[in-house]
Amino acid sequence: MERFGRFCLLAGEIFHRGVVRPLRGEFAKLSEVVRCVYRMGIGSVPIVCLICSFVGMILAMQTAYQLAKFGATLYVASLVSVSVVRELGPLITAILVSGRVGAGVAAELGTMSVSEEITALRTMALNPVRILLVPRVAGLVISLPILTLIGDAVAILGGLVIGWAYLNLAPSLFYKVAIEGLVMKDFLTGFAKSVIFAVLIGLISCYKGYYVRGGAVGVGTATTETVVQSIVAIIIADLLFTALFYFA
Amino acid sequence: MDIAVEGIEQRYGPRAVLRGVSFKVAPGETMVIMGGSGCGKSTLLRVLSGIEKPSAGRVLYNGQDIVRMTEEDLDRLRKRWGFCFQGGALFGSLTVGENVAFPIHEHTTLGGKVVDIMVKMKLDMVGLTGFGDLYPSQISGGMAKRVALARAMALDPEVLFMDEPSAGLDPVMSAAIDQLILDLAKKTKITTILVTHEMKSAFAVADRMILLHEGVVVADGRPADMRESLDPLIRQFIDGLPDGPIPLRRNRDEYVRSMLNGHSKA
Repeated sequence: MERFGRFCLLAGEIFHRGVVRPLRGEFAKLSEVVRCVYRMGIGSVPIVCLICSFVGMILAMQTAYQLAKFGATLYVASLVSVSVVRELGPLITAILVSGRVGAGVAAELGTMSVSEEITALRTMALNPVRILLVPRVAGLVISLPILTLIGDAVAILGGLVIGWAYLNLAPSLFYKVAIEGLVMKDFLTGFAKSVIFAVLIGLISCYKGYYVRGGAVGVGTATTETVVQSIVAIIIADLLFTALFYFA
Repeated sequence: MDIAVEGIEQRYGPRAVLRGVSFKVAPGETMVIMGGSGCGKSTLLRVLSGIEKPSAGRVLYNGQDIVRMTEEDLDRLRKRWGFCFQGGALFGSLTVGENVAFPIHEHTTLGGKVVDIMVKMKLDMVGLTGFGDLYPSQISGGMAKRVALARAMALDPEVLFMDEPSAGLDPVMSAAIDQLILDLAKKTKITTILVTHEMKSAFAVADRMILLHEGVVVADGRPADMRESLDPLIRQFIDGLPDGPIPLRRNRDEYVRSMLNGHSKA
């Protein structure tokens, strides 16, 4: 309960320093935000492309196996595009980012905490939340939706390759059916999910790293807990979000 | 800056680390806080610099109590302080020069060229001219302490806190740091509060010194007073004797009591 209270207080301060104060003209370090976006976003593109292309291929093969029984392999394209844009793209990308970026943020902040770098900031009359945490959460909130869009596109491309190579679906036809199957709500759902997932990964990794205790072992524990708790939080949020859009 | 510490107590659960510590530091004075390992020196320094709030007591800077200050008001004071950590606490992702420039960039609107000159001056002051482009991982422990001092001095503070500035350094480097502290005190009239258990360094730099033992100030005076003191505890500490008022080994009853209570005085 105490930990949850501390998490809420830190989340509140990040929101205050990252959203409320900028509205009053007090911005976080822009150069640090740009650095975080570059490191978190650009650095994650290769792994997101690799995994999402495989996911798109797997999805196409699995659905083709079932749809072939009804002679409806053409609908593999729309099935891949809708399930990727609404669900799998945001989910897979967020899980990858929680492992790659969330763990990195927790380890970096944890090491800074252990080596008294965060305390040093306070002695310099500088707020560690503004200097360190807000840019990292902002970096994730900017990067993850863009990475998700890239992941979506690559996954559909992966499905297109399978459709063209094994299902005798012309790429132009696959593309046409895939796009026709999508509506604006699918994009908005995926985008909203990715923003929420980014906030969750950012807050959990910052909290775990910021409050590290116990030297190198503490940093290791914080890193592991960040990945596990981020993935659990992402899945729960996904369930709630999907239920909201399903029943609403 | 006039500093007064009144009845500071610091408790972590049932364990009292500081028990009614009181002393004063005059403007421009170099005050050395001495004491054995675990006696509460570093905790006292953290309380004095506002990093930790004490359980009880007051810390007055020119009459203003920092214990009851808001974080914003405390930050206004902190801009006039410098803090030099035992391990340096340098930012590992920044170069030596960027570390020194960091507080200048954050708290002033000075342009890049002016900041560069200021950084060069600060690094020159600690004898590290030309080391600005190296990362903290590429320099020695002694150099890191000197960079930390340069960073602490970046905004020409009125008060400088130093935690074990010469601990773990070779005698030459230790003497160099002591000389640096003396030069700073002489040239800038800075008020310095320094924690150490290195007697040679303490006597080299101190205008006044206090001796902490089990969270209590057991001696407060000028270096000459301390040197001439016949108090057995002060003598044991200054002369580095293994046995005395601070026993080498506890007697049987005390040992049993500490084991049963789950808490030790040692």
